[in-house]
Amino acid sequence: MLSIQNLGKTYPNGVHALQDVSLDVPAGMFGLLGPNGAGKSSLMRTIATLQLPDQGSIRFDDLDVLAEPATLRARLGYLPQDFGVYPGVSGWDLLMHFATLKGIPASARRSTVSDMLNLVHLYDKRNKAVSTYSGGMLRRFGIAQALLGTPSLIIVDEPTAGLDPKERHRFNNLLAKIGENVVVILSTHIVEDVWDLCPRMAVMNSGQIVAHGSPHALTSQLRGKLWRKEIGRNDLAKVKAQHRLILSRYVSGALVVDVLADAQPNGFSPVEPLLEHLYFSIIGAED
Amino acid sequence: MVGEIARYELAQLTRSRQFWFIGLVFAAMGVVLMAYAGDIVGGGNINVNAPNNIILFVNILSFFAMFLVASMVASSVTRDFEIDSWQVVFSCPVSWRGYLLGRFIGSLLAACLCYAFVIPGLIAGAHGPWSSGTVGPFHAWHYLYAFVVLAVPNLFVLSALLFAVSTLTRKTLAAYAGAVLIFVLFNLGNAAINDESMEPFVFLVDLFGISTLNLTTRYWTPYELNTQLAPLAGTFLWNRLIWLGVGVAAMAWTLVRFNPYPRSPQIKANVPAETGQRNVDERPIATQVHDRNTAWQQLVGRVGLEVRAVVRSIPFVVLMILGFVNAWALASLVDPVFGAPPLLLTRVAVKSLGDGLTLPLLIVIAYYAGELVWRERQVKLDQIVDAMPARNTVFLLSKLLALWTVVAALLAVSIAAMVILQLIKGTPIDASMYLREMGYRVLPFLWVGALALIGQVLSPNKYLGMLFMVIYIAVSLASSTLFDMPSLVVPGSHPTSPISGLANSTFYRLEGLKYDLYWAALSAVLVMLSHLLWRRGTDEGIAKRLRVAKRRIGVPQAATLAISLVAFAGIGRWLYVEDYVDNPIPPSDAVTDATQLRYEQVMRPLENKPLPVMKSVRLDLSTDLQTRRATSRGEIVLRNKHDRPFDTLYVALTPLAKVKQLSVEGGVVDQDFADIHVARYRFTSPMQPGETRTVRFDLDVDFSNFPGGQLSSRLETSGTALSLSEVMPDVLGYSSYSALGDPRKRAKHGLPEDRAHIATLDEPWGRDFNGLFGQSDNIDFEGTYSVDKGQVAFMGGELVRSWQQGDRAFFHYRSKTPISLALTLQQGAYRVLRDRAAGIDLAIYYNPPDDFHVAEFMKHFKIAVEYFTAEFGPFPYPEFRLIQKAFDAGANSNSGQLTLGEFAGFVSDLSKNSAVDWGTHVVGHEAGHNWWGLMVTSAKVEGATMLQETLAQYAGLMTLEKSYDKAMVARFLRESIKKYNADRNKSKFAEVPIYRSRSDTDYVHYWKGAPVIYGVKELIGEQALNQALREYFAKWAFASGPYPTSLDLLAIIRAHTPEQYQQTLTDYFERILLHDLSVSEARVETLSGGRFKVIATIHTKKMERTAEGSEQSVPLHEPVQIAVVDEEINRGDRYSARWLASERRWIDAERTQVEFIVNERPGAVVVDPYHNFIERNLDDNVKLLH
Repeated sequence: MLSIQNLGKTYPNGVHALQDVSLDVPAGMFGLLGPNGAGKSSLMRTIATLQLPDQGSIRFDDLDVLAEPATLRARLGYLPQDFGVYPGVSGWDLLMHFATLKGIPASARRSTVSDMLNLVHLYDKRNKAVSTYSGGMLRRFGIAQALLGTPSLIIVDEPTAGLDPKERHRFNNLLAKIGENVVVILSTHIVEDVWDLCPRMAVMNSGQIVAHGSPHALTSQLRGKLWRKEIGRNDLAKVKAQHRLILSRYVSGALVVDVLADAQPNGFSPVEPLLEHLYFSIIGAED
Repeated sequence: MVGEIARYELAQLTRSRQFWFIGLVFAAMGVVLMAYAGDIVGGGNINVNAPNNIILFVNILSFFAMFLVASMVASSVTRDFEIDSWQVVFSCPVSWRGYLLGRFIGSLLAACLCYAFVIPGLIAGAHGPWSSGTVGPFHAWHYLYAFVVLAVPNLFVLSALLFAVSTLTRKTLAAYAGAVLIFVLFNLGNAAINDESMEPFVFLVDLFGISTLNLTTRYWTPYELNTQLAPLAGTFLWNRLIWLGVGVAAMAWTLVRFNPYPRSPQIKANVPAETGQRNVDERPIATQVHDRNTAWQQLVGRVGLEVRAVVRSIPFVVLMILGFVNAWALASLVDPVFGAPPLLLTRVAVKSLGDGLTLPLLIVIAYYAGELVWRERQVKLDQIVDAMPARNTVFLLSKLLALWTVVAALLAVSIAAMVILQLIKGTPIDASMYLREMGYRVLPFLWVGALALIGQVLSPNKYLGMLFMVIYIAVSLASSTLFDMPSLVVPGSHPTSPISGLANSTFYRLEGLKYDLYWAALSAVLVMLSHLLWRRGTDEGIAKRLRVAKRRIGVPQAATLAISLVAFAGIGRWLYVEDYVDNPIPPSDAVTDATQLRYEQVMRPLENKPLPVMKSVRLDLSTDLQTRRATSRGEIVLRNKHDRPFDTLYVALTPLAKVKQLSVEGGVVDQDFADIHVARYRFTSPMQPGETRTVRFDLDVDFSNFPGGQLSSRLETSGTALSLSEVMPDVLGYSSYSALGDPRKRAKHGLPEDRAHIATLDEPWGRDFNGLFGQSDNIDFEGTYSVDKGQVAFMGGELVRSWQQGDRAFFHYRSKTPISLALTLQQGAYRVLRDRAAGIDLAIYYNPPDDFHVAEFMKHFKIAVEYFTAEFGPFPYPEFRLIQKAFDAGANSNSGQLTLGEFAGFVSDLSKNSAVDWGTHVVGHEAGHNWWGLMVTSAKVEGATMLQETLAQYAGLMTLEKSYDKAMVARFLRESIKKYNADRNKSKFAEVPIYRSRSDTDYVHYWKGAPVIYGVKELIGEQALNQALREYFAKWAFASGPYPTSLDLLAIIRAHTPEQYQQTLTDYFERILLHDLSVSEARVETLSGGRFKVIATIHTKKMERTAEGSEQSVPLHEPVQIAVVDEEINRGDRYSARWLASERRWIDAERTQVEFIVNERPGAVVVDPYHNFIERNLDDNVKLLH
């Protein structure tokens, strides 16, 4: 189990990336939601030993992560949000290299890398330079390196960005299966994925954890408080002024709004809450 | 629009910290360069801020500007590609050509502004309190001229070229490769200038303009250099225009060829799609093992990856090609001694590689350290790699090893290039010497690699880390002038090991390796610090990294750090004590002023005072090559030839000697000046006039030490040459060579300008002292020299007997006739060639493989000895031997024995017809010294060097003339005059006429002396001059005071010179004159009967150097030789052409028309064909008749 206590981090430019973040992450998939700049990547980098917090502690089972980063790295699988590769090095060679760095013994290296490339559907492209891969292929390559070995802590920052829906589902299933025994922290913008995959989750905003728990429990808090109405295009301002707007969108050309209220407002009908509603109710509605 | 973009770029750059930082570094380099100008460009006759120096410095620094240009201009566009902002830029309503041009102009302006910091730096350096050397008045215009005419065009061309390269390849990297290419081109240009036939093309390759400028100003007099700027005209103007044109063309090409849309990726695009995809849905599970074995595999894997990445890159391939070309350029640059470079023997190749690869290797290290350390960050793979469970050491060691691989590869390619060149030239290849010497020479670069690594680890970005190395490079190149103990102070430096084909220098390298051990320990410290501070993740701040470092430091790390630090300090202290405290540098070689000052303080009072003189020496010397120790035992007999008694005697010893016994008859030690190894003995009863006293000594001399860490020539396996003072007490008093020489330093310490007090021609006291040994004259000598079996040993006098006993060989020498105190003790494993001339046994002892010209040497040696005995005077010794010595190109003369450095002719490449046989000249010159310098010693009066060196030059020239012909002499004189013109400007000592020349003004008595003395011979005839010399010899040989002065010789020569030439003699010896002779408007008319009439105009000018140093035109009345030569001049060199007609005539006007009638078709008119006049331009003396 990963246990984070009072983590704080301020960048030299004055940005408070993490403010008093405390979180317990049990084995299984853990979803991390939040807008851009909320501090998700900072938190993940900090857990992945890539930066030091100004204060706070991180424990992984019995391990003091900040004191013994090397020990954590031996158990870590990490996929950053954005990465590049050495120019001109083939997929096979690079993954073999990563397998070496991960400490996979020479005897198992070839078969592991071969299986892994098959798993992420890159085996056919193994002799091409990774630097020539398309965005989705590169993402899959990134996933492959993160899963190499037997990591007991997997941190993946937007792993499915740029993947087509089929690959995304495949990968989600894979992660879910892995998450049965190990801690998987998944940061994403796709709220639906968290709902589908993660028994536990947290929402971050402005460097703070603003909600955490099981998606279902969190969402059920909104039950009976969420109301929907189809309105005219020019009435949005009026609705915003009168109600707490959570979500607005066009459905078949009509503008549908969901608002939060303890009692049913006039003309609105009840709606079954989704994780999306919870998310926007916490971080504030879109404009 | 272009203006907008340019303004934006300029504002961006000038606002950056980088701009100000680099600017200030340039300013600092300007200050340092000017402050040390005195050491770099002389600084006596020429002001440090002479216009030409300002231009030179602005130019030297524009080398460093390549780095500035690459980081500012070349990266201004590639930045957009490297950070992927190009798509945004090109979707804006900007013409992309305008965008390129704007970026270029803006960044070029920024680079120029940044570079302009040099100017205030130079001004401050010249006029600040730290200024060295003479400083002329300040002229802002000189700086402005240098900046506008040199720096700005250079920056423009560099920018345009590097901008083109980087923009078209979209890689800043390529710009750096381009910079290396430019560097090599510049080297080639410099190589070409050494070959006169290439001079017309130099301005084409000379991007920086400095070589071209040098062609204009190289023969300028100090007065001209101090007062005039090189005009923007002639080839210099062409050079500027051509390169500006190249810049404009490069810019135009960039604008035409640039395609704003990135090329589609091409890497391995033609690999067929592969199949074999299996259905795998389960994640493969593989245990991760983290042990030593894994770390090892990780290191091997990383090294492979790093090395492959480097080796496959285009810059590396370019670098290797350039390395190859550079090596060939270096081979052509090797020391061309008087137009005859040495053969490309391995020792020569190794030496030129060792010298010439230093800067390229340092640049390569600076560049690749940055590329390697920042590689993951540059390709944005850092987060993945940093989160991998591999140790920091795996990453940093792999990068260091990759860096070392690049160094090794460049070295290997350079050696391969040399070997191929050797195969082409057919010179013997010594593979083991390449391995030994280059192996030794590459070591410092390994340590510098560790330094570059930590520089990049500490630096917040790649460029700052590279700049750090640029500063290191500048400091290390100037280390010998900046520091007293460079090998202990400048990281990575170790003493240079001298290279010889005679001496096995293993022990030099072993000594040097101690310094490598010292720097290796520092490297271990640096590598450990790199490990502790290694960037792992995204934290950049130094505070955070120190926190991480504190956490990383465990017992093993702390122990390693402590051990390496202790080792570094310990070895450093050991070396300091061994090489500087226990074995201090003798005053004569001292780099520190203190010892020399102390020496002068104690000993100078003895200068020019009557002292007891040496009458005889008995010396029993024994050397052991295994232990490199010698024992030296013997006695010196002193006599009081004066009419007053002496109370004291000063005895100086070599610092290498350990005294077993040292006694002065009737004397006791009165005061011990241990710091300069001098003891004063007081006689219990004074030494009375006519009395003799004996100094007995028994010394152990340890040659296994290296005072000051200097790997200098001592006891060698072959080619050893020791002076008497290295094995014996010195009782002759003050030796000016052990005192501080630099006049500027002397002034700083409040000492008289000259370390030797030499009498003027008007001071009679000087006549009582000889120029070499005070009042001591020739001595009786006897000695035995015991050496390892297989060695031959030489002392003074004749070999009485030699024998072997066990594994030792013994040689017993005794002088039948008294010999000069100038005595060199030599030993080596030689082969000997014997002959006889004029009743004298001749022998040449040489290194068996160096037999290229030995037979010719003997022929010319014979000619010299026969000529000198017939024309100068009898030779008193039965044997005359010539012995090769290890290492240098120097030579010296003892009574009946000559010493020639291994590069002084023995291994010259004389294959070119126009080559000057320098070796034969040296043989003649040194043999001549037996007459002029040893048999006839001169008084310690100014002009003494004329009696020694100018006359020895005559001996050398006559040896050349009799061995070859006058054409060979003319070739020599041409080089001699060129050398005079160049050395005069470099010298710290003001020029004097030949008859007042002193040892400091060697450019006068050697290089002006040669054409002058040969000119006299041409003027009054060989017979008349030799008759004069015979009379001079007869009168002064073996004098024991008073000794002759230059006035005595001149008086005798004047007596043999017709009245009409008396003024010319005055001009030659007593004035400082410069002639300018040229031919123009030459034409030929065909006459009847196959005859031809040649008409030409001779232009003549004569300038005299005034007392204040300016020059003024003086009236003409010159006896000038004019010749018409045959058409051969169009084929061979001008000196091989046959004369069809010649005439020496009086020239009294600046323009004189001459006419000749000849019987063959003429090829050219030549004025002063044998260079009897000192001129700056020797090329316009010929006018071809087409």
